Amino acid sequence: MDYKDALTKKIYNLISGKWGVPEFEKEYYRYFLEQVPEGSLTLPQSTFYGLVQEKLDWTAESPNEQEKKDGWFNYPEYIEWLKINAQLFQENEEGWYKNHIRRFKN
Amino acid sequence: MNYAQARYQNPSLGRFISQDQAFLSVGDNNQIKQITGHELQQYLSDPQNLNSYSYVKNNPLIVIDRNGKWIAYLLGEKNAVALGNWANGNAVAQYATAHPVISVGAITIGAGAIAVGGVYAAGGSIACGNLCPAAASIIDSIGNYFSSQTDKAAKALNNTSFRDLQVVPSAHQKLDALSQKFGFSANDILSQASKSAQKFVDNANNGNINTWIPRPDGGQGLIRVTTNPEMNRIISAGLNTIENVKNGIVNGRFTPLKQ
Repeated sequence: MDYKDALTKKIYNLISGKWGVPEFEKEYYRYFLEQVPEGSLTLPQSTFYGLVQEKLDWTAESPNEQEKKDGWFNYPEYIEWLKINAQLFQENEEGWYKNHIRRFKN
Repeated sequence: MNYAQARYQNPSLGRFISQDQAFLSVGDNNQIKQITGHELQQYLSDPQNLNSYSYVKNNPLIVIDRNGKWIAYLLGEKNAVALGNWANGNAVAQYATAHPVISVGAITIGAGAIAVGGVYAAGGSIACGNLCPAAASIIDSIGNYFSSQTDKAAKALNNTSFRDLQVVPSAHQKLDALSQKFGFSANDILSQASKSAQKFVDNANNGNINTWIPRPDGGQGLIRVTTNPEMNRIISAGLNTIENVKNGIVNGRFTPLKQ
């Protein structure tokens, strides 16, 4: 089973507009947590696809101002965040990961 | 207080009063290996190790702690796992495992040959030759008492319980979703998270504080409850894979909150 491929397809269903965020959450969140076995992805892949899942816990249709300060996304913001990161990740998985951990290493 | 060589254990709280050395050594693979005999990744792969105050991974039935530093399995690790599997089908053992009774006394389960129990056997023992049903109610009441004590401990440690904190509306929705998924109330989840002494700073997200607890259904992953850095608001809740938490600790995204 190519879990990376399955997860990527789901992401592109959201980015392309085929799915909305609620449908993406339904299809992606549980699949990543419960169907993808530990060790089946590389470290950068596990981190990236895990972050996509985790960010869904910080996404709501209309977060209030305080929640936005706390780090919450609305749906368009989540899609935008995902578009940027998916592109960077697709271009260079290792580079994306190094950049990701540099944020809190320094 | 019970003196356990490297630290003290408070019998009324049912746990140690300071963090274990292994956990404080996270990031130093050599020291971790010296204390636990395990590589860092292996050490972190067990979510019970994320609670650095707990006594014997909250499983005094099959695990002991002789020096306050690291645990030993009473019957050897393989046998302990087998015993754990056996205990899964055993109401008394399940109850005792869910409600640590280390400050009350040893529990003896089985017919003579299998004796399991905690080191801090201060107040006598419950003997249960053939899984006597009466023991379940005794353990139930003991468990309830010590659960409340553990709640108090969490309050004392953090000055507040998660149940008393404001939950932002969007986090409330996520908690409700978790409640529906696992059949527990949001308050139950927050209460469990309060009891988890170990909290982690999320260095990728404003220094928010994460607490993870095992999924009640035993499924893959951990429930995460997140507060703001001041720990006066619940700002998110959800699930993480153990792999992501483990990697986050290793790469420095999550660092233990010094309390």
